[in-house]
Amino acid sequence: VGTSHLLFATYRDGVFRYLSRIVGPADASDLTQEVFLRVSRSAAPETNAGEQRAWVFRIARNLALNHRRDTDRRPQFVALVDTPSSASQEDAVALHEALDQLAALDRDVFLLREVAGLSYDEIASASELTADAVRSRLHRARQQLRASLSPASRTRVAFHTREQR
Amino acid sequence: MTTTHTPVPEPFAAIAAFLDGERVDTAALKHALSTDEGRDYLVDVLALRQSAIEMEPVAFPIPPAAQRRRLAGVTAAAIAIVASAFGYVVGGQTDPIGRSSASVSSVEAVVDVSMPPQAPEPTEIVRLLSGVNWTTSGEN
Repeated sequence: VGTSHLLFATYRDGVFRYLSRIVGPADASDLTQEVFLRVSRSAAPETNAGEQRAWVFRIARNLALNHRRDTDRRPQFVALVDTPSSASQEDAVALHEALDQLAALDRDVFLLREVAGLSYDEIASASELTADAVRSRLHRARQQLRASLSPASRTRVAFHTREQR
Repeated sequence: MTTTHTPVPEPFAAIAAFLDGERVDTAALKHALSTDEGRDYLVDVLALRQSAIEMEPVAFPIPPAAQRRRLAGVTAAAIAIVASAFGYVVGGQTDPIGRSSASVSSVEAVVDVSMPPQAPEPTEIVRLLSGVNWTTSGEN
């Protein structure tokens, strides 16, 4: 099994989740394939898994940025609400709107951390930031999301979280 | 790279590091969790994380491995069919039997129906001598 196949098997879902948040699930599907097409055409860094993951997500992030620039539109989060979810639609819409209010780079950092599960160093590598800048932007994003979401909404989200455990 | 940033204040820094799997100052974490502000932050970040993960499609919709296998199967079948057709055509053009049958089909045969058919000349004459190499069936 080649390196690109391993990277595909390991990161396809994470890349798709991350891209879904930025461009919507329909375009994310195409972009995910494009990401791994580029991965297969390039020489993956023969280092540790963390650097390979950061490399894959850097490709994904660049493609997402290009896509946004080309289409000149905001991320389409509405379709995501239609997918089965444990939280209410109202909470989902609130979260989507709150994410939409974030600065693009702060949102990227937040999604790379919470949706894709990258470490600070990996996010730094994928986003061309320092680890301290990642830490700072992530904190800012979280604080802004906390402020944007109503206490009731946050409580419901936390309640859903507890119910699922 | 961007180098300007605002340091994350306590108690958030220790809790964020703990939640994000980074190196944690345990004393700072203990102090952070002793405050209402720290505990609220912990719960909110966990809730945000959970909702960010759950409120979207979880998996890549097209199973790539299965798709690759299907594509490989279809490709193999297509190659086999094309190869068979190509082999049939090329074989028909290069096989000597095929050539001779093609040439025979182009020869005109002339038959004179007015002449009675004549037996061909014998190639070997066998002489049968009674009692030597020939007997009647009743004698056997």
